[in-house]
Amino acid sequence: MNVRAQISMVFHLDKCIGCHTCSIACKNIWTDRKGVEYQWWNNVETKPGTGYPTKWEDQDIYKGGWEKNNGTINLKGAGKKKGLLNIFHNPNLPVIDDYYEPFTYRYLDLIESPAMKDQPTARPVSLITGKPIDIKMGPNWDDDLSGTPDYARKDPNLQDLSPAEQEAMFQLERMAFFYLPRICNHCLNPACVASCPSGAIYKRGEDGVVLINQQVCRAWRMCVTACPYKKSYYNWHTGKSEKCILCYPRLEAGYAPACMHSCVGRIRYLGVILYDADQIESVASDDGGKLIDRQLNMLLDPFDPRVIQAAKENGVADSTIKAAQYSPTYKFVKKWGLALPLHPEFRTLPMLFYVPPLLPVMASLGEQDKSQGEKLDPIAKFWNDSWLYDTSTEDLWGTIDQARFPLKYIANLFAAGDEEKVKVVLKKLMAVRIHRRNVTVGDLAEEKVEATMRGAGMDVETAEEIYKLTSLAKFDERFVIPPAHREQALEMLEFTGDTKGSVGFGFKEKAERGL
Amino acid sequence: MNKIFFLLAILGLLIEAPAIAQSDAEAADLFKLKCGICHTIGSGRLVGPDLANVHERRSEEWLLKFIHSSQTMIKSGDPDAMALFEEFNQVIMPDPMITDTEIKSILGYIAANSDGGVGTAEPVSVIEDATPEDLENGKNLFEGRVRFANGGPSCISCHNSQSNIFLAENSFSGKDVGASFDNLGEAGVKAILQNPPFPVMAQAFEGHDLTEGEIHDLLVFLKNVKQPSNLMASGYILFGILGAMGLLVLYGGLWYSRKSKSVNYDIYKRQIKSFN
Amino acid sequence: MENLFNALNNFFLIALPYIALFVFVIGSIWRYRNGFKFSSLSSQFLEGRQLFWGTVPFHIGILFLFLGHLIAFLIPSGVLAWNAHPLRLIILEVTAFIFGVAVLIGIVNLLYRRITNSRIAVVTSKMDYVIIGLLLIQVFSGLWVAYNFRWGSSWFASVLTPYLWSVFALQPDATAVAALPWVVKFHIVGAFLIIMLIPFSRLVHFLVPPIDYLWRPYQQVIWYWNNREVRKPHTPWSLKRPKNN
Repeated sequence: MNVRAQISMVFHLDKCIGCHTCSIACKNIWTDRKGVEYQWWNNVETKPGTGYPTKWEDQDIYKGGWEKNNGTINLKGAGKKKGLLNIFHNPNLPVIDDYYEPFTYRYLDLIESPAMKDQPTARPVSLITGKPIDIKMGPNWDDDLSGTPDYARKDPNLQDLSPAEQEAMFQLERMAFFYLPRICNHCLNPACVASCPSGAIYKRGEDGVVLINQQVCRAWRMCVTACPYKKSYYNWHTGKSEKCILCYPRLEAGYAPACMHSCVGRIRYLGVILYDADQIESVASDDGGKLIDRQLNMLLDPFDPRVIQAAKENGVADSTIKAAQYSPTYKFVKKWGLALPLHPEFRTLPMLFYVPPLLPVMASLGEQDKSQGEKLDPIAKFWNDSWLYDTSTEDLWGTIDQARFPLKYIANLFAAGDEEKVKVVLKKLMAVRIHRRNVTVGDLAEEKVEATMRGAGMDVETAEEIYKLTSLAKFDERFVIPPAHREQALEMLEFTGDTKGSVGFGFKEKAERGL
Repeated sequence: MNKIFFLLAILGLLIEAPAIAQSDAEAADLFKLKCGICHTIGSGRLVGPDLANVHERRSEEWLLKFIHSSQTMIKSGDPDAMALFEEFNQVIMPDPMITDTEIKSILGYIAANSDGGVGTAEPVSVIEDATPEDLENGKNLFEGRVRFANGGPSCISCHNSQSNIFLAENSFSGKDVGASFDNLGEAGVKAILQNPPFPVMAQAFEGHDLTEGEIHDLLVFLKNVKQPSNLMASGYILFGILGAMGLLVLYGGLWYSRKSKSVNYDIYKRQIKSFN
Repeated sequence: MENLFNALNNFFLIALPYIALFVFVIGSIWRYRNGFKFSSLSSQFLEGRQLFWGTVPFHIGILFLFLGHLIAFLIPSGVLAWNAHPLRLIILEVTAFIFGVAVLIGIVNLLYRRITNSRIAVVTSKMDYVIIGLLLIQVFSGLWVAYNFRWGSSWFASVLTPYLWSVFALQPDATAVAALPWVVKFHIVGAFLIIMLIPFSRLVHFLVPPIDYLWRPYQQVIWYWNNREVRKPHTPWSLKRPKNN
């Protein structure tokens, strides 16, 4: 057992309000320079939608991630053979128009415009060329389902849905959408690391953060193709590739990453998960249907004495093991089984897990065909919209089976098409809701509640724990950051043993005798 | 301070390289390398005149100028130079690229060895016994089908009908294969093959001398064949351009499935442009 | 006049190569040490369609031609042996010429793209223009030499290889090369100029071809410190610096 620690993330999609504060936090700290202004290391997509870059999930176009060939896995669009043969021209590289051409407005024209017949305007100009442009695309152009015929209808996750199911998703007054915030998943089997011909990308052993060494990167631009989530970006100004760094300077200082800290909906959780690194290769190359289960099996119980022993032997610090025991992500992912990885079929073993959204799923069974006018109660004059989120129907599970949002769609996103897995998670989430409704409102039959909980494999204590961590969690419970032990890292760079009796470290020039 | 000046003075002396006169052996080597191909001392006319006692026939100043660059002198209208040029079939004497000091040492060497005076001997032909096989072999050697025993490059590497590789006009380029014999005579060509005076040819055959037999066969070939060799006389550029087009087609085919348009291309195209 | 000729030959064929090689070696080491400025500065992200018809014929062609020059430099007798048969000689020369024309087409396409595409013009520095101009002139003069002074592969191996070796052996002898036509000398000088400019331009990218990618394991995990060693209780004062595992 080769135990390693990884800082993992959980995003609770029921709570995301799509405010994009996370994107702005990251943008203002890291990506407001020339060359990276188009890069959104954190972006929030509307689903159904094509995302950023457009249709990134369609690996037939972008050739990202790994694919299985006869028992082993190979990079789909890069690798030793393809990467070197295509080094002069990457045939699968997304170009800037797949993202959007970054723009700004000539605000000063409003103030300094000469006297004219018409009002002055601030023209949009390109941030690349500086010339006026027509704005054709933005990083979130299809936000809240705008431009549905062009974008949401072409969502790659809809590909294997039947036409009826697709239509069900796009009916007016029944349409639903949710937000999918994405950052780099800091995978266990990163395709970007494997694809870099100069070996500039690496995974840090202590915390699993994947970084691009800016001094080694030679702009071979294979990593942009290889990442199936398109979270490795090319800086067109400096000629280097950049990606989400999980705010590692903040992590090392004990702060939460900017996107996590600034999240308004408080959807983000950060914690350490211990995993068995020996299994990475066999898990990534297993059959498609087994990927999620095997990836979850690779994650280890931080309370198991054998795991703790193996971790200590591997040099994992005691404080990190303690952090793993308090980790909120371990609870969501392993203990309660509520979070799933995004597109596990890319075989990169992402360590960012999502709690699937329950809300677009719930619907009424009885009242769904009545027109809007009939729902207006004639006497009380209020909209009887309880059919939307009805938790008191006879068959509490019917809402999931006859969801407004086809389960297949969510399964395509989070479970490689396996609807059962998503159903299990959604049932647990529903059970928690039902338990809490029972506690707060009390209008459900006790036996029904108990039967529901048993059916979902949930008990009262667990439901309470889930409720507390989801809705009432304090800051320190959501982000459990292990100390980075920089004193040990410092010993890599400096020989700290002999500072006693010497002049000092001497940052720019060593405090040494001259020649 | 004084120590530094002293050191600098010594350095200065060392750096200054005074012109030291060549020794006799060096002058002999120089003559052999630069002059002996076309001139004898006392053995008669070869390609150029017999140089015995030339220092008595011409002034040192004239000799220095002529040897330095005979073509310059001829072009500037010097009557003696022009007369010589006419007398010797307008064969250009290549500029030997040596310093005045070296010329003087060669002249000294010539003076020291001019005892017998100008000779009258005619050069002896070595190819009286030529056979058709020799002619064939000579052709093969010239065109490179048979490699030289000592590894030298084939003649056709530079002497072909398309090559304008030589600085001097009228030099043997292969356009007119027989011209070499007419201009230089057998003795002259033999001398060139044995010990090329031209810098490029000398470099090419340095360490790769031709054998007696090879020289013999080449002389037979050069005397008897009048057609220039014609490797790829025409169509070179056309071939090149067509080939390059073919390469481009090949690349386009190899990478046919490349992603050449952005995913949103169609959407962008149909959007209204506010300006061009 | 002759002295000027000698002086120019000495400068361009002896002094310049040494200056160029010295600047190239020292400059490349200096630039490599930091690494941030060591990049191929790919512009495919900003414009990929036109680029294909420029970069692919250019790179493949120039690799072939460079390899050819290198082989003639390292194994001249091998080249002469290959050229021994006229048909093989023609095949070699015409193939190289074809690749040379492809390189020319490639460079023209690249230059056109750099000048006309506004996105690309923004990421082009003056040195980029210098380099692409030099490369254009160099390829053109190379094709000129190949066409007008046949057969280049043979006389390169016989005449230029000894000259180049003499330069590297610090006993330069440029007498033979001085007698060659000026276009050939121009091509040689252009080559050394480009070598000299390598450390100051994007050409540094071909000093680091990712050959080692072939035998590197796909995944890389890098540790700040050797966890198992750094806090061992029996070595409180480590005399050796801890090494990255």
